[in-house]
Amino acid sequence: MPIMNSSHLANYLPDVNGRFGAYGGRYMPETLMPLLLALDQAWQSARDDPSFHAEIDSFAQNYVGRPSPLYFAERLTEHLGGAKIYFKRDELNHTGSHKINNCLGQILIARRMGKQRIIAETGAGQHGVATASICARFGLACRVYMGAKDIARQSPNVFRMRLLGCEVVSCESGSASLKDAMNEALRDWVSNVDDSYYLIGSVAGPHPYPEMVRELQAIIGREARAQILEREGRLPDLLVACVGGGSNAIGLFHPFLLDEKVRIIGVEAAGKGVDSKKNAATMTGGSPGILHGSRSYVLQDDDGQIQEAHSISAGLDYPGVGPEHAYLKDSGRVEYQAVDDEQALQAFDLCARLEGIIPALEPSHALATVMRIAPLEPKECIIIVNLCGRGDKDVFTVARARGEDISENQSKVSSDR
Amino acid sequence: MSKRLQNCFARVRAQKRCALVTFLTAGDPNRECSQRLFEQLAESSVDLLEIGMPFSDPVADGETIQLASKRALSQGTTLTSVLALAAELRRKYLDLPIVLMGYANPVHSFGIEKFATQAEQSGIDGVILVDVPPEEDAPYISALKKSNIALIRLVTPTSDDARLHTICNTDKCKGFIYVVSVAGTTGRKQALEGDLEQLAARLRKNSSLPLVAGFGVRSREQIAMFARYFDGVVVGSALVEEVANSHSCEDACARLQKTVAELQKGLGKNNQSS
Repeated sequence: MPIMNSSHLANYLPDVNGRFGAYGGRYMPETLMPLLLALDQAWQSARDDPSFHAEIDSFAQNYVGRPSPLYFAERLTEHLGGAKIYFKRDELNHTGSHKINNCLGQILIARRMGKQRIIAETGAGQHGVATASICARFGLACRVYMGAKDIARQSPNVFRMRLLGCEVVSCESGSASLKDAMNEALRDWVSNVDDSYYLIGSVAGPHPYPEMVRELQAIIGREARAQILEREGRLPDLLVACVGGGSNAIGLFHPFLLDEKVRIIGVEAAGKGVDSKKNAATMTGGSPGILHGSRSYVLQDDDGQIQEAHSISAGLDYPGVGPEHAYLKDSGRVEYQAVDDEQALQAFDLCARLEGIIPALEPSHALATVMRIAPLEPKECIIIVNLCGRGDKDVFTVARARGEDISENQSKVSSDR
Repeated sequence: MSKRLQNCFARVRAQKRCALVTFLTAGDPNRECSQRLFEQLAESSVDLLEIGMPFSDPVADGETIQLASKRALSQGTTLTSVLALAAELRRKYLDLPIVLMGYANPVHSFGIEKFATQAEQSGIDGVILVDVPPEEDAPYISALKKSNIALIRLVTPTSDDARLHTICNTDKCKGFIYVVSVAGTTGRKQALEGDLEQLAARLRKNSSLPLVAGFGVRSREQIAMFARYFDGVVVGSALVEEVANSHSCEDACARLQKTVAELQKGLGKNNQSS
């Protein structure tokens, strides 16, 4: 359990209104407000119920495969010649990313609320696949909204969702990526309030989602904390994780927020560059605004219209970020940096070749930051990076970026609808 | 409450009918034509103009208004140009109530206080922000109050009695109450009469403000049904579609004129069980 510390607000935020300082809240149409209040009640009662945690623990161990290993990346450490690098290997989870931690908990809450139909949005498809898998396991109907652009670039995950019995709906509006998928999922929810549960995949959206998803993902940081104490006898010096909506990052960071000596870096996607219009670096290049139910940093123009994001990584391609990250940025507790497409691809290659692990493009952004920082640090310095997803889904995107053609396989997959 | 809103509802009540409220998105299909379309509605004697402030991510809207917002934004519509359009209408139509409807972020980005001041200068009577529920509306209410503009609160079929009580708080709930008649986005589902009757009855217990219902209202027959329970009815998507299907601005004006004339035939409360 977290220790209360009056010097830092992080452990008792959000407040009852879902605010993290000036961020968060519940900016939603009135139709959804009674549901959000009911969800908050269901969540608060579940979190105090030992049987809820026992059920999560059992599925986490036997279905997801937790705890995930904390792996010493020896060859990468040698190659970079500085700090000692550990990978928190959440890419080894069932379905290939950290997303399943959240889906598992929320499905149990949806069941407690008697909901029979699950809706979700997905960017890279990792949250969609995790949702579809858990829905299959519990026999619940599942519909996942996905931007048309993401469907094209993440075809393996689209097919996986269909194999799992999930209906994948293509969203053509706006930038045809994660933001637009979330708009459509919200419209579905507004129209099907009686039987449907909206399973948001990140620490974004209206209260209580940012808090609930954080608590469900904090297993990553709690495990990592225990594992590093056992291995090294002390806490790490630096934590690094990628930030799109920010759920894997909050999951790793949260149990360390009160450890003031642990430096924490969140890595956003700079796309084709922070100065270009084509990026997803919300906190580096954005400003406070209201999107998808909460006040946080968003990419917007001078008139408050939300901008399209860009990243080679579909999972980071979102013009908003969870409100707790906005709070942690302003408070200075977490540093946020940005890594562009090219740097992420280099880190992707290096990790594959040195460690025999093909990471997803999302954590490749975190790895790029580690590659920059590790050589500057002494050998005693300990870094933990969250390897939150595996890269199988990204092989077509990476092949395209390298000018290699594996498209025949791709068309085979995507035509199988 | 603004005199114009008060007078409007007093007048329709005296005429034993329901107010016709029309929605169009500002800047759709372009700035000049949009101005003419709103003027056409005023000339057709609609009772209240609702002007949509376009937003990039309109989660409460169905496809028709999503597309209208997109067209308006692609034509360079901004909150400043929406306010200018409203000011122009106000110069021509001194007594016609005008309400802005949209989403929080453009107003938040513009600055809530600055928005309230400029909206007052443009002669705005009320503002509806669909993604700002009572939990979040305190700063908006306090800024708009100084400008004598009502923040119009919304109720929906999912609002239970406790929530209705909160929403209808007499210090905060002003102007009229916007009744979202179905759980859904704009322009799609249509409400059932029994549900409307119940919702209206629950609301009358909580508030003496005029009740204006919308979402999914398209025909004269539906309006006649709404007129039995509500003080005003909003038609939006059906008018936006007429504009989208027109081949010129003249054609769009003619279509609006014809549609509004037809809709107005359903407004009477005479011979209805009220």
